[in-house]
Amino acid sequence: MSGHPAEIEVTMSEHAGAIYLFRQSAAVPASEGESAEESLLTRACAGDEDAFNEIYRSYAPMVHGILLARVPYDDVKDLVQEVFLAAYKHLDTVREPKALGGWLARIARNRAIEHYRSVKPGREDLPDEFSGRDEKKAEAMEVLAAIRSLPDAYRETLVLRLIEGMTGNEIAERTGLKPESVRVNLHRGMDMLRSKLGIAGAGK
Amino acid sequence: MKEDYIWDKTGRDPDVERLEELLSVLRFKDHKEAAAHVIEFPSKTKRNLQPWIFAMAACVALAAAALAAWNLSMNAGDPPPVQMAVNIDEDGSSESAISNIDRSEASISKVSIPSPQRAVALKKRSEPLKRKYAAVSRKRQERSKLPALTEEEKYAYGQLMLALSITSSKWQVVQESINGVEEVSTNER
Repeated sequence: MSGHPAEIEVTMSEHAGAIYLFRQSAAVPASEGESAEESLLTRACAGDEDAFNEIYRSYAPMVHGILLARVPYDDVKDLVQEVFLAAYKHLDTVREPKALGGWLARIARNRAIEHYRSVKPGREDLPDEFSGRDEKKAEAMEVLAAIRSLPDAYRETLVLRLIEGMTGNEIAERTGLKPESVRVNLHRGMDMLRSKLGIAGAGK
Repeated sequence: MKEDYIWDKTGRDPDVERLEELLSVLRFKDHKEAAAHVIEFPSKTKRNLQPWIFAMAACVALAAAALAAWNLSMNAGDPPPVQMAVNIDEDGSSESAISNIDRSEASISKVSIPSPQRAVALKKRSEPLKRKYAAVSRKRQERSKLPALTEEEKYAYGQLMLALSITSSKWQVVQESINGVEEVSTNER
C-alpha cells in the first residue's frame, strides 16, 4: 500500500465524488477507509437496516449495470431487488469486507443466468425495442442491443461506464476486477462498439 | 497525465459523451432511495421470533419434565392406593379419614368407597399386600444403610475410589488412542 501513494490518492478522490460509501472517509487514510467498510458490513450483518441501505446505495448501480448487460431491461429492476434480498439473507457469509463488491457482482451474474434458466421454453421475452416509450429511449435500446452483442467482458464494463456513469477505477473497485483489465476492456470494447455503430472515433 | 475520457472522464471524447447522454435514460435511478423502498425486508420480528419460540418451548418442556420427575419421586415414597383405602376404614367412618387427605383425592375416595362394608372387604383383601409392602420397605431401608466404618476403613475406601477413578480415566485415554490409531490406519488403507 505504501509503495503506491499516488494511486491511493486518485482512488480516494474519485470515490469522494461518486461513491456514497466513501463520501465521509475520502480524506482519511486507506486503512481507516477499510475499517469503515468493515464496520458497515458488521453493522449490516447485525441487522442494521441503515447500514444495509448504505451498501445498497453504493452497489445498486453496479448490480443494475451487470444485470442490464445480460437480461431484458424490463426485468432488471426486479432482479436488482432479488440480488439484494439474497445478499441481505447471506450477508454474514462475507468474510472479507473488501470482497463485498465482487460477491454482489457474482450474485448478480448468477441471478442473470438463473433468469434465463427459469424462462419457460414457450415464453419469449419481449425485445427491448418494443418496450421503449419514446424515440430517445428506443435509440438507447438500440445502442444497448449493440453493447449486448459484444463479448461478456466488454459489455459489462461498457454498460457500467456508459449507462451507470462509473469511472474505470470505480468499476474495478465495485466489481473486484483489476483496474488494468477494466482499462483494456473499456478501450477494446469501445473500439468494437464504434465499429458496430459506424462511429469513426475521436482519435481516428 | 494523459487524458483518457473513457477511463476516468478526463479530457473530451464527443462520441462517448453523446453515448453517455443517450444511454442515461437507462441508468439506475432508485439508488438514492433507501433499500427498504425497493426491497421488502423480511420482518425482523418474524426473524427473531423463531428462536424465542424454540427457547420457550424448551423451557416449558423442561419444566414439565422436572414436574413429572418430582411427582414420580414423591409418589415413590407414598403407600399404594390400597393402603389408603384401608386407613380410611380404620376409624369406621370414611368421612373422618377423608378429612386428613387432600380434597381432590377425597372426592375420588368417596366415589371408590361406596360404603363402610365395602371398605372392610377391601381391608381384608389388602392385608397380604400391606404386609408384603412393609417387608419390602424394611428390606430397602436395611440395604440403604451403610455399615459403620472406622477411620482407617473410611480412608481405605476413599483411596480405593480414587484409584478406581484414575484407572477408569486412564482406560478411557487408552481406548481413545486405540480408536484413533484404528481410524488413521483405516484412512491410510
